[in-house]
Amino acid sequence: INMPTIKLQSSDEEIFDTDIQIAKCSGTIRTMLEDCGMEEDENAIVPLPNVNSTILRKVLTWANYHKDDPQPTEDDESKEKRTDDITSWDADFLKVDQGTLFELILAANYLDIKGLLELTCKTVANMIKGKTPEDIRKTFNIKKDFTPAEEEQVRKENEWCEEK
Amino acid sequence: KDAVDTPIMRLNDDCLEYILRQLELPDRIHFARSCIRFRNVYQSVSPALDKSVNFHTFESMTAWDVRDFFHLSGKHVLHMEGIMPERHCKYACELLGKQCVNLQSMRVMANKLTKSCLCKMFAKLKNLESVELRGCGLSDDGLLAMGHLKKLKKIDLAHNDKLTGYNMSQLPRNLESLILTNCSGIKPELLAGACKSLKMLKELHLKGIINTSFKALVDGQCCNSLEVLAINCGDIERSEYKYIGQLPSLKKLILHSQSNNVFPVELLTGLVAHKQNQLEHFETRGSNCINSAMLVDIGKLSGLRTLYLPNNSAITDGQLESLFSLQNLEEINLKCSVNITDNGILRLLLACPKLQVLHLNDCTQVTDQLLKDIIFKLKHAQTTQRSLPIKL
Repeated sequence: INMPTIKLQSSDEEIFDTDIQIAKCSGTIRTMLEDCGMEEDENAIVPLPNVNSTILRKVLTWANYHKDDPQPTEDDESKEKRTDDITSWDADFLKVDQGTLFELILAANYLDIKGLLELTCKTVANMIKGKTPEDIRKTFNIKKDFTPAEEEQVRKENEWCEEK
Repeated sequence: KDAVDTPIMRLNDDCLEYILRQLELPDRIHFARSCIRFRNVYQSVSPALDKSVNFHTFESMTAWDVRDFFHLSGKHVLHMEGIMPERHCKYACELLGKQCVNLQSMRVMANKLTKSCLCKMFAKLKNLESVELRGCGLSDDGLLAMGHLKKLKKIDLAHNDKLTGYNMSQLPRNLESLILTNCSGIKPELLAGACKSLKMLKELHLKGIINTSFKALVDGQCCNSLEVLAINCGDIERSEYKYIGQLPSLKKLILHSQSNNVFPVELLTGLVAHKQNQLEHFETRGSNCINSAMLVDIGKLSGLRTLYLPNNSAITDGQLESLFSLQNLEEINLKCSVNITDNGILRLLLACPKLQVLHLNDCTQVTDQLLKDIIFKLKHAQTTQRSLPIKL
């Protein structure tokens, strides 16, 4: 069957011919199509100025693999936080450098793809779990930027805590 | 330059918040302590994530983590509960009392809390409405730590057997509910004095206190606002029970008893004499504590809307007839009444026009046929008063 397609344009102006059903896993694209009546138009181009072609290609690979997944349920603060339920395909998919990982998060956020946002953020959460603040800084190459006065205050109170 | 060296800083705050939401509290605290930006993200998410905290969470945290938590999130916490890890107990009390200024309810279980701990813990909890300190080894002195909490309406002090009732009159004046279940050291005259001071008191639980004097409460006009009372039945001097009916505002009575310990007759005759139309809820918790003479008296309590009489093998279809007079009855619990049949229930339902909720679990003689009979009968006798559906 010839699936209807849509053209997506990345920030570096590469055009991606994409199945509409796959493109629509993005809430942002879905809204654009519906609001602008672009679904009928074979030649319409959806510009995505916030996503470059490398990242868009990865996003579409992920979306294609997960096209038959059920829609993720609404946020529920009460539900148990699980970050150990990442499938091996997803884990392999995310064997990328930190730069790419964070670009993917930004793209998933901008494109409103809940499943991908959850997956990528869980992956980062797993990099933070069980680490000391110092380890977290090392992992992400973050500079310690508290003022010396704040540090001193914390150190004093820490001593106070340990005394008790 | 930052973006090249530190890719995570390319994320906007929305994304960082999303990551933070995937973390448990100890990891969130470490995240907040990594750098200023992360701390700011932590603080913007904290009001949503830290409304309710279990002390158990502190188990895997260091003293420093606990301190950071109270400093960063204390004012967002509305509810805390659980058992405090012993090693954190002292300063957690202190930090809680300083930082959790918006706390509305707290439940502490099994932590030994000295007077000095309690004074620190309650220091600034001006918004506290409900507190539970179960089995915390409280002494009479400790109660003085709560006197200044003007919004406090509910205090549960169950299982603190060192309490005598001394200083209880110093509890907050607006107190509406006081639970003293199994505070076996309570002295009747001190309890009466406390009740006299607590003029707003509507609910009092005295289960497990075997030397209560209801005469003293009534004679001293100590419980004029009291609407709900829970007591033990059968352990106190029999003549005391006739005074329960004389508590002027009583609407709901919960009676605990040992199995096969029949209630004193004085209790029900007192209720019939003084509370015939006022008592709305009569509940027994025990087994085989009701006999047929008592059912006749219960049938005279025409104000009853809720009646709980579980575990009474003495109740038969014939004896249920005593309850046909309860024209205001909305809910009945006859769990484990093994001698009741479909017919008895159906007749009760038809006799009590407002009856809507029936708890009949483990009534071994009641069958599915009852449901069909009810539907059939109600179709033919449309009573307008009854709100449907009927719940079984």
